Amino acid sequence: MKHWIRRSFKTRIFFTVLLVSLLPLIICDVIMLPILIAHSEQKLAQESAQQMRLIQTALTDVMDSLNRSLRELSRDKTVFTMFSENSADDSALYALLFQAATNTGNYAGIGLYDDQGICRYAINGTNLGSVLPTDWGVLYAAGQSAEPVYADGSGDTVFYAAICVRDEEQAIAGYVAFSLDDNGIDRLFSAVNNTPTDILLLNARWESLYHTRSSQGDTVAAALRQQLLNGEKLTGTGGEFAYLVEKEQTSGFFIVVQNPKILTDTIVRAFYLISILMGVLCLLLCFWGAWLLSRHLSRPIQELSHAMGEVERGRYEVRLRENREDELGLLSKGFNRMTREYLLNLKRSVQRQKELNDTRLRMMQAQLNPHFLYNTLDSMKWLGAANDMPQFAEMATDLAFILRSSITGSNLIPLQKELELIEHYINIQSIRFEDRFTCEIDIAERYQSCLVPKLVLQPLVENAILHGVAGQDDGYIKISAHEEANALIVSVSDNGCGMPEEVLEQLNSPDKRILGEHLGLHNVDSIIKLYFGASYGITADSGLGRDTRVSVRLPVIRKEETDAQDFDR
Amino acid sequence: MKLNFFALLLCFVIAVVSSTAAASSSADSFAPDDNIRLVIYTSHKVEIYQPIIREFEQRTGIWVQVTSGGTNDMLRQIALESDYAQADLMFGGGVESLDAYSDYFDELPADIGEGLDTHATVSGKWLPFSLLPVVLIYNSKLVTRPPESWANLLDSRWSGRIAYASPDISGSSYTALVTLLLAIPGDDEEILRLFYQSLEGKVLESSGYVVDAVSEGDCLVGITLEETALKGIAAGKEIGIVYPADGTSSVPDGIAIIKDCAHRENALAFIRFVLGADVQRRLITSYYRHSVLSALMDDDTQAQEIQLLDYDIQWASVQKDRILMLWNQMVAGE
Amino acid sequence: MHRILIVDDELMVRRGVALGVDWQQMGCIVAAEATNGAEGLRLALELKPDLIITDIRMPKMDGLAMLAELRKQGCNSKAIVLTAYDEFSFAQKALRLGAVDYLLKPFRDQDLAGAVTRILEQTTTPCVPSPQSLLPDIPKAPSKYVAETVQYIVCHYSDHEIGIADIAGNLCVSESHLSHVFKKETNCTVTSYLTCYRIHVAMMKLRDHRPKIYEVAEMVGYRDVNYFGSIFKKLTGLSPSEYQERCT
Repeated sequence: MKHWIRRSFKTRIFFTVLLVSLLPLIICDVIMLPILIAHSEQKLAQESAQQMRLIQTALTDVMDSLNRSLRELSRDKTVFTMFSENSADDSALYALLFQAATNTGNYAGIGLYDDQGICRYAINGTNLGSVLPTDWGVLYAAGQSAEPVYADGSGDTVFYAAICVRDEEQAIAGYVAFSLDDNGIDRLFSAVNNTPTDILLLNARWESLYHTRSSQGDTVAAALRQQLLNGEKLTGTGGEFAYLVEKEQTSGFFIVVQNPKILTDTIVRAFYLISILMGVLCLLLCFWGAWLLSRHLSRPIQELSHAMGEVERGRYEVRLRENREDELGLLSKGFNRMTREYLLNLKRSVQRQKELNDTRLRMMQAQLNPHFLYNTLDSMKWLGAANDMPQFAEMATDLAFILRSSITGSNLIPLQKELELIEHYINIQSIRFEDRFTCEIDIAERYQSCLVPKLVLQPLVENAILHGVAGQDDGYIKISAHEEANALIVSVSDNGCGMPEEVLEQLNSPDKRILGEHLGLHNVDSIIKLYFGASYGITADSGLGRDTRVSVRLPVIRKEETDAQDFDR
Repeated sequence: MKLNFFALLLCFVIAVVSSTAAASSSADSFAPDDNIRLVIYTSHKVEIYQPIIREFEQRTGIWVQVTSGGTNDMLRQIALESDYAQADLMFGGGVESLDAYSDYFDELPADIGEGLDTHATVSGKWLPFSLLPVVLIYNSKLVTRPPESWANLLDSRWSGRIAYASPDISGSSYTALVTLLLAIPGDDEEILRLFYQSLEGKVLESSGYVVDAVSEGDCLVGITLEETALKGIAAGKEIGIVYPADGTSSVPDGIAIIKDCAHRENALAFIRFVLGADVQRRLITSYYRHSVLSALMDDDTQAQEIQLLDYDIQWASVQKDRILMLWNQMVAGE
Repeated sequence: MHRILIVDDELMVRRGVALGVDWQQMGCIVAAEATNGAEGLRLALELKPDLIITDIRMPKMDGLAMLAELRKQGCNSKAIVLTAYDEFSFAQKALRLGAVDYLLKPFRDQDLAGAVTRILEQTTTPCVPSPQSLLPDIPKAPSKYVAETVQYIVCHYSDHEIGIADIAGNLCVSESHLSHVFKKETNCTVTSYLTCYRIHVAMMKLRDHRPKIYEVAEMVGYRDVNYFGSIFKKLTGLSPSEYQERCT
């Protein structure tokens, strides 16, 4: 992984961008969000707990007071007398009842029911003469026990708390029952709770008795009950509220505090959804951004390295686009300047070399009076002739001819004249090499008038003689010419020992280095390229032990008018 | 180095996330043990089952979970869950229907049927809960001469004005159909066709619509259960009841324990409770129904007046497929 | 007999000129030699030669001054000027002083002979080089290849495209071998023999008929008449038209 990152700066950019953009997102989502949620839940739980304490205390107080009052009333003589003897002191009874009501905070209605379930005495909302079944519900439960019982109510009644009154034989004489309705409970709870918290009262089996917003009581309670039985978290219906449940010990009822969640489930889901979407968006943007950025950076760099490659291969004309203002633009401009300078320098140095050569030549000509050379060679000729050394005379004459041609006249001469030059040169070399080679000049007359640089063929022939046929007795050199794609190709072939691979490669490559002993060929090639362009020059075809053929490629330039001076000598 | 950092970060993240989970409120301590739970499927209406179940809970301390729905839906659900019973008890549904699914119910102990009227008890797999006579109703404003019998119903004057729910959907409608077939002498198929022709294609989707259809005048007469009719009258609907002179059925709805249920003992306790005098008495006083306890039946004067047919529950249950197929053919032939 | 006077300060040159050209064949004789302009002047006035061959740079009196003096004194001898200097001003002066030709040292003996011939023509019957002299010698018993090559050339000289490759191919021998053998026996390359033969034939044709130059060129295998002309002149010393004139 590390290696992969290091390999390309593109991947490095990508990962950096990815890290930079994803890290804050991750920190936010994974760390901050749960902390936020946890904190809000905790706060809510604390509040709920606080409220619960208050409510629980209040309710328990009421339940306890109910409990006490029920016991008291059930043991009260007056009550018992009323039930057993069916007669009573009404005012005394009512006084008792009112006292009991006061003791219990005046939340509940009180009724005294006879053994048929008919209400004989009632205050605070309980109806006189109303009937509660003795074989069902609260009276039945009261009848089954000696303690106060707490049972569900029906209709407006939220719950009953009742006790049965027994006679000496433990037969049921009657019942005392407190009943609390919605209003009573409202008053009870609002005394301790003035926040928007909702309170539910559930019976011992978590069925709804009361809800501050009565319309929702059944549905919420049913949901909570189901969640309890399934062992799930209590989220009610819809996950918008947090619930805290406590048991009221006296009655066995359950108090549920319902507080709206600040961060409801839907909001939390939305948070996570958004953060995931953000993550995905982030990733996409990273890809896109990183790709763009790296392309923006890598393209000019690629162009630069490509251009450098071109320069290495000898194509100095390559230039980079200069359309950027930034550091890479400066680099491109610098590169272009550099290659331009280099090319100029190259041209200048060749030019200088030429000038140097010219100057040297002129110096030579000035210093070394050519007439002196000609006279010397002339004397040598006479001496040779006088001493019967015809070859000696010939060499001198040929040399003089070559000398005269090379320092006078124009730089471009007809091929015919060049061949004449070469013939003289070959004459000299033949004498030196004792006729160990022959040279055939077989060039069609239509090429004879083409203009070629003076002495262009001499290095080729020299090369053929010195490196080709030097070691043989039957050396054969042929100079030929043909036309190819609007260029004149003059070839010098020899049947000598051939050229080694590396020399051949260097001769043929466009990128010619100094070839040491083949300096002459390199010079010719450079001169031709400078005069006529890169598509002309020297090529070679050879191999060790094979015939060699070195060709010079020139543009076809014809000399139209006949030059009287040249051939009427 | 980098690995360490990541590991640390991961641990921290896990710690934070798990702490949030812990902050949730869990009231598991209040959840009841499994041995005081009971799961009931019921087809009764909520105003019937809720007080009964609440009282049962109050008296026994058992936590009951109720799922309610149509008889056939509940029974099919039980059949689906036969491999792994989710419920303990089926409470409600015509005994014919229960009989058809008796494979999915458990054998009941012999002593549990004590005190029941022998007419109603037939199978060891289910027990009757309450009796439901089938009656005819008529619109009290529009109809001056109500039909007196099942045979009367086939008169042309009622053609197309009969409120009747599809026996394919409603168990009680099927019972009514069998009652009609038993009451009117002759070939079953012939009578069925005559009856269907009388309907003139108008068949209601639910037995619950029958009373309203008649009271609102869409139909002149209807076929429904006595309980539904009495409730309707109590609610002020303008209908009258006719107990057919040629006899009617009083098929009970039942209760059964599901095979391999989880809380068999609690289920038995529930059955004993609903077949006890307290509940059965209330059927008569509060629910417009008739008790199945022979002791109480003697006191139920109203029930005694009803002319009853000899309704063979098992025959009805066995014939159900055939009769319903005939019915559907007729419907399709329309 | 035409009388020649050689004036040059170098013995070598005098010897060379005297011995280098076959004066007898041309109908000439070297009358005297002078070592400087003054001597030359005296000898010219005394002997009245037909032709004076003189150098320019000499002590006592340079060649041009001598000529000028001679002309002043009424000497009408033809003059050929030999010099190492190829300066135009000298040539001009020499021409004005009535020099017929101007040869640059070192020169080939044929050049001198040619120049002399030209001059003598004007006074006597022109002497033309014979065609036969042109052809290189073939040994008495040539080897098979040499004979066949010669044979081939004799038959195909008029072909424009002929070259050593065709000849060697025709003889089924490698170019190098043929070239070596030919050079060894005839001291001449195959291509140059071909050229010589062509010009030899051309000379024959020019002498025997009066064809047009370009026709002759065509006949001997040259399409470019200018090229033919330059080759002709190189080998014979005369242009084709001059030669044609001389022969009639």
